[in-house]
Amino acid sequence: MDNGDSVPHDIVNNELYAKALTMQITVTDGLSTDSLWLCPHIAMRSPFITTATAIYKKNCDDATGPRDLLDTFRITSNHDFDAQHPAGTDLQDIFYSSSPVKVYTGNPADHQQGLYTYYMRQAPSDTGTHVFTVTMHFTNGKVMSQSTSPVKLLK
Amino acid sequence: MKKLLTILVMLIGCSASAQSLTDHDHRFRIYINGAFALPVGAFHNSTENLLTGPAKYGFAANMGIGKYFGADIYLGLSFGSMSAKLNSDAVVQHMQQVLSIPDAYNTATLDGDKYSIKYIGIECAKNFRFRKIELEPYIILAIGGVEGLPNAHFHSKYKNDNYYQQTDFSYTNDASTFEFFYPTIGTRVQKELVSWLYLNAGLAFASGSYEAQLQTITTDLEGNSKTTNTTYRQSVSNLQLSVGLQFRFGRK
Repeated sequence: MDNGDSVPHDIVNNELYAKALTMQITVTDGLSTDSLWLCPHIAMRSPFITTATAIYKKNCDDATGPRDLLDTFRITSNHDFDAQHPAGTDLQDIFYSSSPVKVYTGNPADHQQGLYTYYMRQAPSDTGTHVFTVTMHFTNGKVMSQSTSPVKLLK
Repeated sequence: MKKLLTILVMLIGCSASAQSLTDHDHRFRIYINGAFALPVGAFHNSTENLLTGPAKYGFAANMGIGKYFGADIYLGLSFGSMSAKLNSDAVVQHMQQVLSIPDAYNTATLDGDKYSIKYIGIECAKNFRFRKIELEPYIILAIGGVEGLPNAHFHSKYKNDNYYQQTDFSYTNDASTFEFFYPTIGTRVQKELVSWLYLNAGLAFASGSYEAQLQTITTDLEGNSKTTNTTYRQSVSNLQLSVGLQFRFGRK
């Protein structure tokens, strides 16, 4: 999203000022097919959400225990960002989030469904077009990723 | 303590001039009136602050109970409450002038536009009778309290940038520290409807200033936070136009 005005709005013409880029990442238990998802403890402990449980069973092999424990979380670009961030390196340090996605450390609370907002806090060294990719590696070997449309970042 | 001593001295002054009850007088009376209040000079701050700007107007309800002390002097208790409406446009404009950041979208908001002043005090009134009406100058030596001062917020969102700053203003006073000396001087014109009921209209000037403790918390996009506490003095002088009824008992 473009957060360059008083309120965020959709990116127009696929370009915006870099420091106004806001990335929203939705983590669900599979209810939304076009979002990144995982199978957290919290879904297992909500028997009243029968639909969610059903979808969970469909998406996850074992409905009796936690699955898809998040091991690593990365945000990358297909384009060099600056000298310290060539294409493919993790860009989390150029974003700010008050509540970032947490990897699993043994605490069920680490697996939270929800909307995670990342604000770009630094401009790239050059104006360029980037495709950002969010990648989640799970302890069971599963890998999920989703990419943005190409977006031109202005300095 | 100093305020109480002042009140006592005034009371002694009133009592000293008191004389015996006459045939025309009542032993007790109760009045109740409603008033429309206008700022005098301003309700606004006597020192720089961001929240309370000039009030537009206020509505007051006052009540009193008095006992005759001779020489046409009544002494008693008076209490009341006034709801003042802030000029929120002026407050917002003031915040914009002081806090705005260039090249940012600046927004000032108030949580409300009203606050109230309550008072209780000792009233001394001298009654002058004419053919059809009575004229009654009076003074009320009161302790006032302010409640409900609205919190305010100022948001600066940088242009072409995710960065923002949010400043939240709130009062940290507890009720007791809001107390302030709030005297009133005025006069009433009274007309007898029946022997125990009088209609009155009045004009009064009430003035005081309280000390407010303002807490300012500034946060930004990256979670940085800064808290500052300031104290300022706020004037609440106002002119009140009132109408009401007075009930008199114990005619002798």
